[in-house]
Amino acid sequence: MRSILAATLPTPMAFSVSPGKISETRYFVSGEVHVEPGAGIGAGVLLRANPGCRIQIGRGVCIGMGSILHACGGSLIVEAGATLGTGVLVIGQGTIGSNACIGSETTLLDCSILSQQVIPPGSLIGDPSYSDAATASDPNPPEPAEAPASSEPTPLPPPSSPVANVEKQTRRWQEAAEQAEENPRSKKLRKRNGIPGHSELDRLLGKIYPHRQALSSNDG
Amino acid sequence: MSTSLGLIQTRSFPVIVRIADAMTKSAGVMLIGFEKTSGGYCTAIVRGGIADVRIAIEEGIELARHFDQEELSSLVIPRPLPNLEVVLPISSKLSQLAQNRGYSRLSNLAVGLLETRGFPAMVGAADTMLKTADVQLAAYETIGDGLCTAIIRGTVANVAIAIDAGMYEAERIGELHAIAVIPRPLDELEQALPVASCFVAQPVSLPVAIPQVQEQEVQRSETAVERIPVYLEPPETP
Repeated sequence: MRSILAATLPTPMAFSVSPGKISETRYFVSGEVHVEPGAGIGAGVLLRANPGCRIQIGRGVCIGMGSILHACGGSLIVEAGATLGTGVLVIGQGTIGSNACIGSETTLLDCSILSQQVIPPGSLIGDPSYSDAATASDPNPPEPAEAPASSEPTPLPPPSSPVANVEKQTRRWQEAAEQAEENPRSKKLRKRNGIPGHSELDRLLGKIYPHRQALSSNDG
Repeated sequence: MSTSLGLIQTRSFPVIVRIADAMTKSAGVMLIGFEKTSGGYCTAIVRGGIADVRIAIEEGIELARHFDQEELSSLVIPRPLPNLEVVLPISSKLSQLAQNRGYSRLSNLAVGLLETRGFPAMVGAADTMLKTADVQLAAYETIGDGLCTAIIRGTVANVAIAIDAGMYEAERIGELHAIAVIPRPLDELEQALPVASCFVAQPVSLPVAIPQVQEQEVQRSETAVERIPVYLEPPETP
């Protein structure tokens, strides 16, 4: 995944834009990108498909300003009527279902969104740094960057259940958070904070020495 | 009239001192003292009018809950009978007796208390506190259940820094139990706290004997006057 992201920019290849879209000059396209008529794409949007990958933007799709869609390791399909807020980052392969709504500033990494699903703004879905197992069992492993480019659309991978996938991720994040809490240092800190009078002393010290926090930032 | 009686009990000496400080500042109550039954149980005793005692005890309970004191108990008796006062250490005369014990050289200074479970941790923390800031170790107090409290005195900035440093040392050696800093304790609270004898200056007896000396001199002069005629009397010669 990382090596794909760091790959050199491919030369623009097959690029078909049908007439009738809202704007044709203020977003940027690289690779095999198909935008169907009636799609509204905001200014500064980047649509980039790596070699061997493609991006398909369906009819009536709305993509907010400054969004980035980067297909790698497979096809990135945005089905008809889906709405992506401003600043959305979509990396990898997957399908955003029809009439789905992705809140602004959301990051989607290698995952699929069901149709009609609503993602709240600022979400992070499908973070691969926690999903070693998921990457190992990826049905469509990322292709090397130097794979021969083909104008043929790559076959869609069988979409694994996106809801189950999201649930699995959430569980992993919770486990990671619990592990961080069980750190002995944090346990000692929590113990000290529970001592009667400690918070009072901290407040008092803060009043006497207002710049103490900055001085002892590496403390504890 | 200091008729009503208020009691509040916690399981930590710094916490009960901090509660007593808040109680004496919240209403017009008189702090009689701390009753330390073993097992770590400490009780603060206040007397005053019923309204003052009720306000003070409510304030104390609120603060104790804030400190997460689980085994908290309190009592307000509007009018204890005289027999109770005679037998139990709840009489307001006790504090008056205690106030005549001498003048502490550490009065009008902030108080810091650091409680550990086990003596070595307290000694280590007290040593660190003395070496960290300009404070004096006024006394130490044990309340049973292995809980020892070091009591330091100094200016508030020195006390706060000393307690902060002592806390780390106590944690390193053993178990830290509670801490408290009282920036400006009232006189009653100061009197109720233990102070090592080396810090107590015995009251200097002012020259109250001067009138007595004068009286003696007057008496002497009177006797001298009386004697004069005796010596002046010439011997009779026939």
